[in-house]
Amino acid sequence: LNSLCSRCPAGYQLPAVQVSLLPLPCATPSLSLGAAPGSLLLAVQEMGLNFINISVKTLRANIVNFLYLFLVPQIEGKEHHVVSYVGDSVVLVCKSLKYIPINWIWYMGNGSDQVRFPFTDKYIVDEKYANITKLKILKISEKDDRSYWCQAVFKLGESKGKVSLKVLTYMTPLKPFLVIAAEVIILVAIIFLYEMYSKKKQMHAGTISFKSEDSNGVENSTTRHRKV
Amino acid sequence: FAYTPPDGGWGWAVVFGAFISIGFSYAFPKAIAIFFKEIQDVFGTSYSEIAWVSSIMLATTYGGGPISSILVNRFGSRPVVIFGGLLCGIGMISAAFCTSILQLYICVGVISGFGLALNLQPSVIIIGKYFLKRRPIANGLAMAGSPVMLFTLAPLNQFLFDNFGWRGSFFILGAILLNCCVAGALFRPIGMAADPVRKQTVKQAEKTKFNKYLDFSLFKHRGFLIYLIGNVLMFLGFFAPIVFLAPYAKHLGIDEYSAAFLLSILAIVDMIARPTTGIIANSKWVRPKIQYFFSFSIAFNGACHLLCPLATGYTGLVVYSVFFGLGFGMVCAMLFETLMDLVGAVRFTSAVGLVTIVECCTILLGPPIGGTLIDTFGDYKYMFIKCGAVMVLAGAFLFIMNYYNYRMLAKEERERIATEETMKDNKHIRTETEDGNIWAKEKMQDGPEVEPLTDEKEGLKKEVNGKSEV
Repeated sequence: LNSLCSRCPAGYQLPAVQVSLLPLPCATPSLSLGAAPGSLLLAVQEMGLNFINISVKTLRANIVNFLYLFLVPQIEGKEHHVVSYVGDSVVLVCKSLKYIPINWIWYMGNGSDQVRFPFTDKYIVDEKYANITKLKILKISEKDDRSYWCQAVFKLGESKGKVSLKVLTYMTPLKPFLVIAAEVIILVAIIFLYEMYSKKKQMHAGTISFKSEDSNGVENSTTRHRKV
Repeated sequence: FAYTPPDGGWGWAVVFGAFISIGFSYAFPKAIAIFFKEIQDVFGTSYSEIAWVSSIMLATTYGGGPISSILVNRFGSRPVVIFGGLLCGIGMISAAFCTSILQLYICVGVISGFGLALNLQPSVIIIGKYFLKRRPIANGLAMAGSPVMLFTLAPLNQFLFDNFGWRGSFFILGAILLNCCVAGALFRPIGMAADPVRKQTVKQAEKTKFNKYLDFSLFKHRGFLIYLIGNVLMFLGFFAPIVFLAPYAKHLGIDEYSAAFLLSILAIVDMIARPTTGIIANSKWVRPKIQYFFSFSIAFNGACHLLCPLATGYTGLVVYSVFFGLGFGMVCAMLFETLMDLVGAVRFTSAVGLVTIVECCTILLGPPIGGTLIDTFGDYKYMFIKCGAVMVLAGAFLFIMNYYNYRMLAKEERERIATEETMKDNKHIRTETEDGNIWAKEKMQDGPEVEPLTDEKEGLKKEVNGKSEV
C-alpha cells in the first residue's frame, strides 16, 4: 500500500476534485479518496506497479501533476561472494523482502550472456517459502566459480539479484593453518627452552628450590609451619 | 601448602596463559554461532538443531569438570592443558570435513568441548597455586579473557567466513585453538611435592585412594555446600538475559545493528569490570568478607534484570547493558575466587570439577526456560523478572548463609587457638593435616595479610612476613 498526500496552502479550500488516471499496461489500480479540509489523500492499492501518473483537476482548472515512481521490489542477493570448496555443496540464497514474487528463475552467466539453468542432479532449487529461493549446488568443481542470478517475476516486471560463488581448493586455508601451527610450535619451544635455561641458572647460583628437603632442622619445621 | 605462593613473578605469565585458556573456553562456543546460518542451509537443518552444537559444547566443557579435576590432581595443570589444546585443535580440524550435523555435534560439541574443559578448570586451578595474597586480582585478570576473546573472535570469525567459507574457517580455527597449548606451556608446575610424613598420619589413612583423585568429602564441607546451592540457583538466571538481549531489543523495534551494539557495550563494560572487581576484592576491607561482596554482586545483577522491563527506549537499554555488563563482570571475576576462598587451594582442584558438573544442568536449563516464558506469554518481561528474582534470591541466600558460615568459622578458630594453647606445652610443632581445618588456616591467612599475623608465634611472624616480600 502506498499513499501520497498533498496539502493545499492554508485557507485554500478544495471545492471538488476529479481524479483521472492514465491507463496502465497491465492493471488498473484502485483508488480511494480521503479528504480532510484542505488536503487530498490518494491511496493506491496495488503492489508491484512500475509507476503511476496521477493528475488532479479542480474546478478552477488547477492541475497538479504527481509522478509517483514505484520501483519493482529489489531482490537481495549477496554482496560478498559465497565461498565453497571443490567437492563440497553450497546453497545460494536470494530473498525478496516485503513482496512475494510469482516465480523465481535462476540464471548462470558468463559475463553478459546469460544461460537459463540446465536442471540436472547437480542443482536443486528449494522454495520452501515463497519469498526466499535457495539454489543448492552439489559436487562443486572449479568450473562453478562464477556469478549466478536469481530473477523474481512480479506482476508488472522482473527483478534480478546476484550471488557470486568462489570456489577454493583445500590448499587455500592450509597456508594460514601452517603459519599458525608453526607459531604455536615455536612459542612452546621458546617457553620450554627458557624454563630449562632459568632452572640451570638457579642451580648454578646455588639456590635450590627443594626447600623442604633441606636437612636443617629448624628451617624444616618453620617451613612446614609456614602454612599459608 | 608446603611453600609460599609467589604472588607475582612467573605468576603473571601464568595469569596470561589462563587469560587465553579461559577466554577460549567461554568465548568459543558463543563465537561459532556466526557460521550456523550457512551450515544450517547446507545440511538442511532447523536453527534449533544447529544451536545444539553450542549447547553440547558448553555442556561438555562444564560436564567434563570432574575428569579435568582428576587429571590435574594426578598430573598437574600443564600436561592437561596441552592435551586439551591438542584435542580442541583435532576436534575443529575434523569438523572441517564433516558431512552431517551429527558429526558436527561430535567433532565440535564433544571433542573440542572436552578439550576446552581440559583448559578451563586447570587454568583456574593453577592461579590458586601461584597466588594467594593477590589472588582476587589474578582471578579477575584471568577471567577478563572471556569478554576480550569474544570481542576478538566474533569479527575474526566473520572475516574467516567471508574469505574461507565455514569449512576453511573451522580448519584455521583448529590451528588457532592450538594456542591453548602455548598457554599450557606457561603453566610451570609449582610446589606441592608429595609430603611423605603427612601420608602416615591417621586421618590421611582414612581417606580412600579415590579421594586422592577427586575429593568427594567436599560434600560434607559447609562452605562448599553453601557455594554449590547458591551458584546452582544463580545460574538459572545468569545467561538467559544475554541470550535474549538482542532479540528483545529487536522486539522493541530497534534495528539489528544497534541491538548487536548493546552486546558490544556489555562486553566492553565486562572487560573493565573484571580486573577492577579483582582489585577491589583484593583490598584489605573487602577480602576478609569477600563472600558478602560476591552475594551483593549477584543480587545487583538480579536487580538489573528486574528493572529492565522499565527500559522502553534505546537509551534505557543502553543503561541496562552498562549495568548488566558491570554486574556480570563482577560475578564472573569472583566466581572461582570465592570457591577458593571457601575450600582452600588444595581442595579447590576437586571442588571446581564437582561444582561445574552440577552447574552444567542449570546453565543448560536457564535459556530454554526463559525462551518458554517468552513464547508462552509473548512478552519478554516475565523472563527478566524470573531471572532477576532467581538471582536476587541466590544473592540473599549466599549472604545469609555466609554470615552464618563466617560466624561458625570464627567460633571454630577460637576453639582451635584454645586447643593449640594447651598443646603448646606438649608439642613444639602442630603438624598440619587437611580434612576441614586447612581452609580455616587459609581463611586466617586470607585475612589482613599485610598486618602481622597475631596468632602465629614470634619466629613465624618474621618468617611469613619476610617471605611475603616475593
